[in-house]
Amino acid sequence: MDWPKTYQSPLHANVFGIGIAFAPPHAISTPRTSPNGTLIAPAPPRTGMPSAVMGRQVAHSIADMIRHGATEPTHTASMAAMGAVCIASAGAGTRDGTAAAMTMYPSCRTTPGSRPRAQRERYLRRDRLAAHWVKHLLHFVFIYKAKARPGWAFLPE
Amino acid sequence: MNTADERIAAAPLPTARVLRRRSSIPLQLWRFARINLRTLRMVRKAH
Repeated sequence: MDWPKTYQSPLHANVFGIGIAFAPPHAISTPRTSPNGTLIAPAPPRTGMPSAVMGRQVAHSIADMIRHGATEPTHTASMAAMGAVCIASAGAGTRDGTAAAMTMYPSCRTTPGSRPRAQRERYLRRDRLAAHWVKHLLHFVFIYKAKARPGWAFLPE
Repeated sequence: MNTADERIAAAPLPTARVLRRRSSIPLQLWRFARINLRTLRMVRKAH
C-alpha cells in the first residue's frame, strides 16, 4: 500500500487528516533489535516539517474545493516524495549552543525495499554550533511566516 | 543485563578532536551553509 497523498478521509470528503492524524500504511525500514533485546522500529517523521508541508497542500485542496468547486483534492504531498529535516537543540548561546541536525529524503519508501538504497539520503550530524545556528534562524523564519509578513508564502515550512 | 548506570558509563564519548571540530567557528560556518543548502535542495525537490 502506498503512502497517502491527499489526506482526504475515504468516508467523509470534507475530512482530512495530516501529520499524526493518519495511520502509516507500513514501516519505513526493517525492524532491528538492540543487543539487549529492545525492538527498534523507526516510525515515519510525521510532525514538524512533513506535517507543515501536508497542511499547506491540504489547505490548497480545501481552498480549491470551496472556491472553485473541485470535487477531488487538487494538491498532493506524499511522504514518499518529500524530505524531512530535524534539528534537535539542546543549548543556547551563539558560541555555546548545542544541536544535532538530521535530514532524510525521501521521508518514506513507497513500499519496503522498493527504492534502491543509493536513492535514499539519510544524514545525521552532531554539528554542535552549525545546527544550533540553523535552529536559531528557523525561529525567526517561522515567527515571520506566522505573522504573515511580506513574502511569507515563499518561505519553506 | 547491565544496569542503566553501567550502560551510561560504557557509552562512547566524543574524542577531544571531535569536540574541537564541533566548536570550531570556521568549520561550523561551513557546516551551517551546507545544512541550509541541503535543506533548500530538499524543499525544492518536494514542491
